[in-house]
Amino acid sequence: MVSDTPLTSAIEFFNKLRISSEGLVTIPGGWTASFGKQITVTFRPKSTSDGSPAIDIKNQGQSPDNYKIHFVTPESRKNR
Amino acid sequence: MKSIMKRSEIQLLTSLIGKKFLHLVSANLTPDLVGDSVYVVTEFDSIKIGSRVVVLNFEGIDEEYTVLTVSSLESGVLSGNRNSQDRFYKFSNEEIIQGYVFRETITEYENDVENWTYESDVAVVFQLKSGFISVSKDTHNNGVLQVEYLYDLETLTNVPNLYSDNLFVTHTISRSKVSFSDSLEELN
Repeated sequence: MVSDTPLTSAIEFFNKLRISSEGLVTIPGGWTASFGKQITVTFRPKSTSDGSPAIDIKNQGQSPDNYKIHFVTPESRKNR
Repeated sequence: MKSIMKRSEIQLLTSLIGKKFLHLVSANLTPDLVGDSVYVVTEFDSIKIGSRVVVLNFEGIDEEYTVLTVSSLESGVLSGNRNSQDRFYKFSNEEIIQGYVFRETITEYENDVENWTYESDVAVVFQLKSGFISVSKDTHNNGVLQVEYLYDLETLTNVPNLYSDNLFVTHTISRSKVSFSDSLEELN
């Protein structure tokens, strides 16, 4: 996801995604929120791979789908 | 690419077999038992099962992958007045009869041509008299662990597959259950 302010966008996105989660815990380098056993949303302000903020969404519910979203600036997107 | 536990880690897991399980401890689990680490406490020995994130490039890009870790406890880490809600007593006072590592091998094909294979340990399972306690990766990438209490190993939650946004890419996944003792022999 491209944003002029990647970290702010990632925090905003995570805060919306974690609404009504059953729990939020810190993990090394971030936080994870769970919605039952089958769905977790994990946010790292600084991913290990490229340093950009990243959100992992695990959805093993009725329509399973998993995503990893990196939040990057337009400049860093061009350099990828 | 292989990402399996070290011999010293399997030895720590093996050391719990035959011991009386007391409880799990973690100040960092959600009510769904999702978090970053858990202590397995027995009458004599206790260990910490955790995770770390490493960057690997076998998929062609730098990506983060969860690695299971096992370590002995620093002295005093469980002492003091820990909050009782940090302790999980299911199957307490039962002997740890057996232990297993669940290993997964993912192979990616693109137009039927093999791109890569990734083999990793995805779960550690303790068998007790009444059931099983599993500590597994929540996903391959997020560095998070999932604790499960099971009465049947068939109900162990599978780790979701790796991400792919390419319709011509397919993955095959094979899973195996290896006892701690067999795992040690393999690492000889």
